[in-house]
Amino acid sequence: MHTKPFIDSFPSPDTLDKFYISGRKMWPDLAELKKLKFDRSLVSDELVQFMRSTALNEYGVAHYVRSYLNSYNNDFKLRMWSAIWAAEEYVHYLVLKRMLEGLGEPLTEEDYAGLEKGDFFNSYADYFDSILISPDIDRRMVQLIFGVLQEFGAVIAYTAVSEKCNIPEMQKLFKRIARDETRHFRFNQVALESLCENCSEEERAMIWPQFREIWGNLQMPQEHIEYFSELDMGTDLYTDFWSGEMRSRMIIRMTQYFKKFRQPSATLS
Amino acid sequence: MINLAANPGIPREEIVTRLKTELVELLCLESSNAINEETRLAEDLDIDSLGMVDLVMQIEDCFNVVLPTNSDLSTIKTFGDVVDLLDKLDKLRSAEFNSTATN
Repeated sequence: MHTKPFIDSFPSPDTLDKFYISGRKMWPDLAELKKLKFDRSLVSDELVQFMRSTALNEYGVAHYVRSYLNSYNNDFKLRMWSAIWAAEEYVHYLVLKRMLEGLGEPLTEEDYAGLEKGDFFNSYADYFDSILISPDIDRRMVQLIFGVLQEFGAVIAYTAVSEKCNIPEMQKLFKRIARDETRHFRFNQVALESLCENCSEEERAMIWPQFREIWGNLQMPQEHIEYFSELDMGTDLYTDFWSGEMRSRMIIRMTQYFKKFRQPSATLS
Repeated sequence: MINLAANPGIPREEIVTRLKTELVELLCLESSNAINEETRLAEDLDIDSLGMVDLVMQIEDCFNVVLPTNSDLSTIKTFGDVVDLLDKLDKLRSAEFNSTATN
């Protein structure tokens, strides 16, 4: 039986190094955030609810990374990226947690317990299997396509919230998280393109339909943890702040990005 | 392909005709007879968010344009709105062309 040889996503760790170093520069003032104090009356209840939901979602990275590792299986560098990504999402959790504390709305032990006990792996695995357009598609590709959508969704979410926030210091922090999520979004793109350099035309041709399949049935991570819906903290809350223009940006940017994979590799720009 | 990028200044009627042809193909319709400027994308043509992805792709490929990422698709409710968007992009491109020619 012919078995397709396994090819790593990246030949060297250079790309990881680059993204890791740029990430380390993002939060030089992390320890300082503990001193923040904000006027709660300037922030809507809806925004506080969003922050609580999103802080827990970022903390939930320990659930999500397990699934990423499963998809990346033998690919050392993508597994390493998963570890880096998880640590960076944990930083976002810390920033959101500090902002909540600064508002006098700290997360409680009960919040953490509910999230930590929630199941994600099995639910996401079922979802992942249901969105595969072919049993032959490289699962790394599917995870990366999902990652592009997920991380760009995060960029839009934090940008949208920054525009709804009346406190300039908080606005800046939301924008900084959005910029960090842009790096994650970009990494998923770079890794997908790197995988494509060594894949067949048939595999490349699967990317556009796979993107359509995920887009048509996009489920963000919190939809796979019952706890979020129990607290009314589902994806709806995540997207509530999106204006028509924000939603359009997601559709247009994603379409413009993924449609290029329909072209033969020689013309891929 | 109608090349708005290279040959701007396309009459609106031509945009309408071409866009109808594209929608017939995209949505597997029997004909474009039922499509007019008031035809609603969601309610009448069943274009959901996935359909919007396909529509954006088809428009960009067919008219050789790149939709600005700050376009607000939520304001595009009817076939006429899509034509308006393309018409607007065409006029912008036309103005750029004329300005380049003048310089």
